[in-house]
Amino acid sequence: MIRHLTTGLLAATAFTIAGAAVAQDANVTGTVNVIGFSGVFAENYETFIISAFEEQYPGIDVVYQPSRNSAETLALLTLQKGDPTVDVALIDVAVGIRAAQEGLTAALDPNVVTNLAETPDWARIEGDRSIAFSQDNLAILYSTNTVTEPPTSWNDLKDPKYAGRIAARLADTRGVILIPILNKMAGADYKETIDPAIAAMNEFAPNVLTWDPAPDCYAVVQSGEVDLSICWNGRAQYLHDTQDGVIGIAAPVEGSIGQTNTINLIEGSRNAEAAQLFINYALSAEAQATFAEKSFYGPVNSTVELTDEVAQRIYGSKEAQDAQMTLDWPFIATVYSDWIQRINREVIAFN
Amino acid sequence: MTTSDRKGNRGILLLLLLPGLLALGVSFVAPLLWLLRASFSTSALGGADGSWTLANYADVVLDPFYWRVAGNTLNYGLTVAAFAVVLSYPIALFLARTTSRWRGVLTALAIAPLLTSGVVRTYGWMVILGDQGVINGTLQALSLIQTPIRLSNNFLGATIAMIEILMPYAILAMLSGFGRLNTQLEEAAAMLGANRLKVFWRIILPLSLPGVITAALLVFVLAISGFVTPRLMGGGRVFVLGTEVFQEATVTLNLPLAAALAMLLLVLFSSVIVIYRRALRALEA
Repeated sequence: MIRHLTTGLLAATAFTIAGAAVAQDANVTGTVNVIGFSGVFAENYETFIISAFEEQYPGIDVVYQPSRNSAETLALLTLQKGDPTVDVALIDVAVGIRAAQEGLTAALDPNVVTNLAETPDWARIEGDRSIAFSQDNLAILYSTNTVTEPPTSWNDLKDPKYAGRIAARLADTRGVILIPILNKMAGADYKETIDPAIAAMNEFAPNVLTWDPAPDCYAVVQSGEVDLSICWNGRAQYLHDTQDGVIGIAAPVEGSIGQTNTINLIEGSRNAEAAQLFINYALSAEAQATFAEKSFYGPVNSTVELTDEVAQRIYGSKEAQDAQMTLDWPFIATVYSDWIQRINREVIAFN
Repeated sequence: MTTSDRKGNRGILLLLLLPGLLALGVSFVAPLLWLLRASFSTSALGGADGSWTLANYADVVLDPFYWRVAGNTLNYGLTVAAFAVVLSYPIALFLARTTSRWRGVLTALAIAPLLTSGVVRTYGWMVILGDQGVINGTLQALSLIQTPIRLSNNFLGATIAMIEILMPYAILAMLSGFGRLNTQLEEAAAMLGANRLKVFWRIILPLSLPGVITAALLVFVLAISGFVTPRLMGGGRVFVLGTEVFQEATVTLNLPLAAALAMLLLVLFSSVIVIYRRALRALEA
């Protein structure tokens, strides 16, 4: 009885404290300036994440500013170092790591950003100075007009029937992600050697029409210029739904890896308190589940449960889902430019 | 005119120059100096906070790949300049010599492509030269070829598009450099028994050479600094300094290396301009 009473009391106390904390949070006012990806991402992020957050925290205004790419965001953050107008930046993980190492981002407070507890270790980068919040899988897009038998494996890229019919932009994160995938297929560890992956790339290289599809890796499939394109899943799913299904998406059975997006609190932010509340919401299971469902970006929060249909559209078949990989991004950051250099010099320059 | 008057004039002259100099200083000289500083920086982001180093230049100079890229760039510039000048010369010569009342209209037509941006015209060339483009489509429809000929996504495509895109500049430069052409000299030569070919070789060509050299220089400089056309038409296979600077600055985020490569490009420019001035002086002499 007494034990129950104690538990009850403790629970009540905890509840009151928690209640006070929420009430106190809800009183936080200010503006959070977020800079992040542009296009459909921006639209979905504003509609499904920012609006929902502002409803919960009526005192906080979130202003979203799209940036053309993470390199440009990094340049802006560098310029503003010490006196930033940006509070939160959404950037590619490789850039996020760089920003953290340059002291451009600040460590989060786990007492405010409580959802860090639900964020896996690999996603808490550089001592919580950069947190992965979503992943966009690398996939093989195909034209449903010309390809009757959709590819199922990364090995299908080598099929001679696709001679001169593949678009593969590999001299950026796409190539850096493909290396560990091809390496795993050859049974090698990317931390030791990437020779097997480079050899595998050279096997499908003769099929490649362009290493730099213009305007992008989606449009060349839509226009029929190529049959296959190595590209990102999220935007392809959106284009599939909105552009008459010309773009089909194949998630190879050997599994894939996501281009990882990070959320970062900017060092010296004048609205750090409100910004961290926003980051906490962005890392919540609720926000990540919604974004997964609307944008087909894989969630990072470990408590998110996806429906079968959504999981299928993000990761592919059950087999592919089981084979899904994550990377040691801080390690990748140290080899990122070397790997791109090797792709450029040992694959593209000869094909 | 007294000395004080002259001094006053010079003051006014300086005053008039000031806005232009300021604009140049802010928009050109300052960024260039910043770039120079970045190329010697140890800070990965190229900020002024890093200490000084020669490592970025060592990376460029000691790497055979960049020598190849520099070679490619020179080759690209020379090829484009040669073809653009040869193709533009007859047009410019015609426009300079014609007495037709349509001369103004024809000149406007020749340089009208400049009204559209190079990006748009590059996309036009992608449509024409692509695997399913106008040329391959026609040849396939006529059963002259079975599989498409690779005319784009390579050095050839990037070169063809760049030649056409830069031709209006070549024509303009030649027109302004043809000032010394004089039909009376041609008539005199003809009267002294020279045939038309001889007139061309001995009179027209030498007199038009300054215009030709200016045009070649202009096209060369624009071609080796080109980024959009090699990138869009090259299919990732055309490695020139412009595309490498972009790659280092935006993909691998090595701003100091990008800055060092940009400086290398600047050195290339400067040496070509020195050669140009020497050549022009030799011609004048």
